[in-house]
Amino acid sequence: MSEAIIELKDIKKQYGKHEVLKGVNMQINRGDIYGLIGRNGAGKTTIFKMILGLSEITDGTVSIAGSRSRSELYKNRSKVGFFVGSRFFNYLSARENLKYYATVKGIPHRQMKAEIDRVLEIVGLQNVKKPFKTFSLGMGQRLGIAGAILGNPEILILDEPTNGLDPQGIADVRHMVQRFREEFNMTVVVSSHILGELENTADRFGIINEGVVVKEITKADLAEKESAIEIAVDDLEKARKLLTEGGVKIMREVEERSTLEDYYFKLVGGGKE
Amino acid sequence: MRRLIRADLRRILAKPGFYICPLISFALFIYGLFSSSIEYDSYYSNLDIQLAYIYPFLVLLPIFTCVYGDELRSGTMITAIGRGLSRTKVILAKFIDTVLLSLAFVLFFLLMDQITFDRFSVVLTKVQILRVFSAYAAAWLQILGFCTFAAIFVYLTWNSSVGLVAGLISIAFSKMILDWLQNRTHLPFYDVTFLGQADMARRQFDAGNMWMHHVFFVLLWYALFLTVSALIFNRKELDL
Repeated sequence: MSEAIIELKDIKKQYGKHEVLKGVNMQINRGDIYGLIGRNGAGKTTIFKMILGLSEITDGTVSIAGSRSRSELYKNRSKVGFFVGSRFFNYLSARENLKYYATVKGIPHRQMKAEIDRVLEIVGLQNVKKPFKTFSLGMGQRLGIAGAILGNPEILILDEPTNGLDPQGIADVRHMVQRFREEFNMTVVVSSHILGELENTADRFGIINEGVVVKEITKADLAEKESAIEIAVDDLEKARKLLTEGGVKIMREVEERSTLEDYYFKLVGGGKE
Repeated sequence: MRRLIRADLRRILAKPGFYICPLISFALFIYGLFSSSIEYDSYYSNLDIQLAYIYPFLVLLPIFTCVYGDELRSGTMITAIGRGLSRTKVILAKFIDTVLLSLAFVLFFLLMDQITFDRFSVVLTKVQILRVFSAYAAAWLQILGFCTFAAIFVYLTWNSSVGLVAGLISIAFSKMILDWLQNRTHLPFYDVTFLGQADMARRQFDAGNMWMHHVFFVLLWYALFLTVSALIFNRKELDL
């Protein structure tokens, strides 16, 4: 049985009378690349805020790495690295900003330089010396990811890491995420609006709609449940009849597997006209 | 918490803007060194004004800009909270940042005074030295009080400028208003505050009497301000 590394049980969040989360249950297992999908305002960011302790939970429990008490939860949050936008001091360079993060994370001083070099190399910013205020959006995103993986956390949370990136940048993030799991054994939770991209990155998906996780599905489930074969034949009527008996020459066969996007819109409505 | 303080101090000291106020005061000091002479009595009578109004301003500005402003602008505070540091500890870390930085400023001002004395060959008696020290110590306690009080507004509004303005207004008017209220009503409006208690500690110290209990009351004021900040901040939704 898979070991749950993040568990949300019946999480509710209310802002005044507005209920943002209406009892979210979610389990992220060790080694998952878990994609969190939902419209704007569906509650994805609120879920991250609950996990990171940035927002008070109205009701329900969050458990990280098996934490059973509030103090254990606080302690285990140190096992989480997270990217929730580029949050850096404008006047500091990439290296100085990471030094700040590394100090807050408690990386020993003698290991700090090597660790900063390592993460800058992973995100491809090893030669950048200028202050953060001169960074492009893509560079900022990369530095944000570097900050998140400092100290090699067990769990990595990435909130919209591909926001504003060009196709090359998006592909780079995808490769990085896969590398984080394969090389560094991280469990990754990632949210994105780009469902096609998330489908290529994650292997489990949680679909959130109107404050509830309406479905958790694996990539394998998606392929199994939603696959279909489209056959183009010379005579459709005949084909229908003869297909069961055999003998019809199949001119072309196209496997049309439902995409994550199709599945998502089928589940929550909306999407393609 | 220690890690956050260390990281904070390192990044604050790396910011060129942090040194603007000390540089301004240093420039004024250099000007003073070559433009006039000084004697203890005139120095001591001016010291109160400087300590009550000018120095707090010179300390508050860089502290609110660097300790709180940069942090809120960059959104880095959530790094520490997301790593499991409680919000109360974040508040305490910021308070300790303020204690250390304001102490550094006060020592810097004191050092400039010492250089001025040397420049004009003013030799102070032991009593005079202690009086200067007690004046500075009381001023430091008051500056810390203003900073801790004004920080409540930062946590309330999530805006360091509001905190800075609250701090500057309280520096400019609180003493005057509280004194006026005290004189009019004969109730200890001024005396019970951290300002009054710090002044009393100084007076008692100068007179050779017991003074520590007044410092204790000043600390209680800090504890009150920090508690209010914690109550506000612990309920605050932090935006991502």
